[in-house]
Amino acid sequence: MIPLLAVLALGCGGDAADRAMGTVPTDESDPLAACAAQQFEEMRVLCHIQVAAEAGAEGDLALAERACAEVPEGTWTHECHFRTGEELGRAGLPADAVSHCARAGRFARFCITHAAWAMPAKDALSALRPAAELIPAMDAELGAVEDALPALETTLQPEAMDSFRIALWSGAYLGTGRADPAAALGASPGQEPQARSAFMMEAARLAWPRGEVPADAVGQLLALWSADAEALVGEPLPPDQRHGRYTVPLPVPCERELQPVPLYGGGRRIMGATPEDDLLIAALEALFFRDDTTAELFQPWIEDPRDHVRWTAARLMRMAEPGPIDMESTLKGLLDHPDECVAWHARDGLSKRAWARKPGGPPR
Amino acid sequence: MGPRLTSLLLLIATTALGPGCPAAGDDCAGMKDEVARENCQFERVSALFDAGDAGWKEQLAAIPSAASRDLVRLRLAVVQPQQGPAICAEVETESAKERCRQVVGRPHLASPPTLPPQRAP
Repeated sequence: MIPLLAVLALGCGGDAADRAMGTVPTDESDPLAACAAQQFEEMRVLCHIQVAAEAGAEGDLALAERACAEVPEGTWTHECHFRTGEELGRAGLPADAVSHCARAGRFARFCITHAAWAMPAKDALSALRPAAELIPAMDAELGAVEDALPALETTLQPEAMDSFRIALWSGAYLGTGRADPAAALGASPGQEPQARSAFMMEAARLAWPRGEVPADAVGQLLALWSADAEALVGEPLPPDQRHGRYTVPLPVPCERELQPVPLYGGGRRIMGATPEDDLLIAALEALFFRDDTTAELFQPWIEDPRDHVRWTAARLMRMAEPGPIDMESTLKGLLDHPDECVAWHARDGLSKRAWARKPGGPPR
Repeated sequence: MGPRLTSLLLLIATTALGPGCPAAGDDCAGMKDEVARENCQFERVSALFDAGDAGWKEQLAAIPSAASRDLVRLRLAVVQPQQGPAICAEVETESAKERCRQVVGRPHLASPPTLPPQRAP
């Protein structure tokens, strides 16, 4: 009797539900027809979004457009364009990604960030190529992104452009196993801060073995920034191993009016007032990305005469793991610093105690 | 024939001969058209859910098929994406878990729509 009841119970509805929740057959010649055949509106929405995302991954712009057009206006239309935008980024089509991200509503900013960082490395955009080839290729790629930007909300445009600049320049250098400044030195106007950061990150990665960052690391990195300097060469690093340390954005009062430069991995930095200052800031940030750089390395730069260098050093020092120094007393000593921004970092650092929260810390 | 056996046979007959399912007090189960039945079940649960009535879970539990319960959950998650992660956490079938990834794997969908755009991480 029990098996009979079980068989009968299976007939108690759920067939339509099973069909509705089955995997969408997107390999069909007409996946939109498969979605249209869905009998429940909400499942049609999910189906169309899946079709749009898969079309984006294939670079099928027309199908992605048609799929998103079928989604009723609102949150899910935005999600459809978000999914499509990030997949187009992953497919190496950043300008098309921007076009979809612009229609992602309140998700537009996330969409841009995801699309920019999902972009695959392209041979034509690698710093392993001669600078004379890389620079025009970079200009063409970023030019296409710039042309697509007007579709985005005006306030988002500068940040979006910067995200693509740093993502493409990081892709050119980071993990390649070669830090040759030639391409970054020739970067076109508007791309210089990102080119400096990308070069410095690969140079900082290659320059010293783990646990052996020297006290004059900043000076050594700056010396590499010359057309005459020999390129640093080392082991390439696969994309899935390109991890490092970065800080969450801090509400630093004196930096409120400054346009930040996004960094690889999610951090941000401020720009230097001059190209030389900016290079130094890029070097400090690149050293911080190495999690074996201790707080002491940043300490001397807190007394630098240049504001932006000082502020950067104060932020990085308080966020880095200390070596021999006593971070608490070091920060207490900065509470009365004449630069209010440095003093702010000391106060905030003492209240957050970021250095004490990190287990382990770098090799001593 | 004892009263228990009579009840059991009645239940079997109802199930085998008609479209109805053994869900006491739920007239959706009596609908022959399966799409209409799924819609009816969804509307019942959805009405309680929208009204903030905790009874929606009871109403959902009264639906006899796991696939149908999951379809209701998925549809609710699409209509109310802010509640999506909590709703999807309860799904029972593998196909629903797969579909729910389109909702729970996207945490921004759960953020209130009135917030201004978030700054990139």
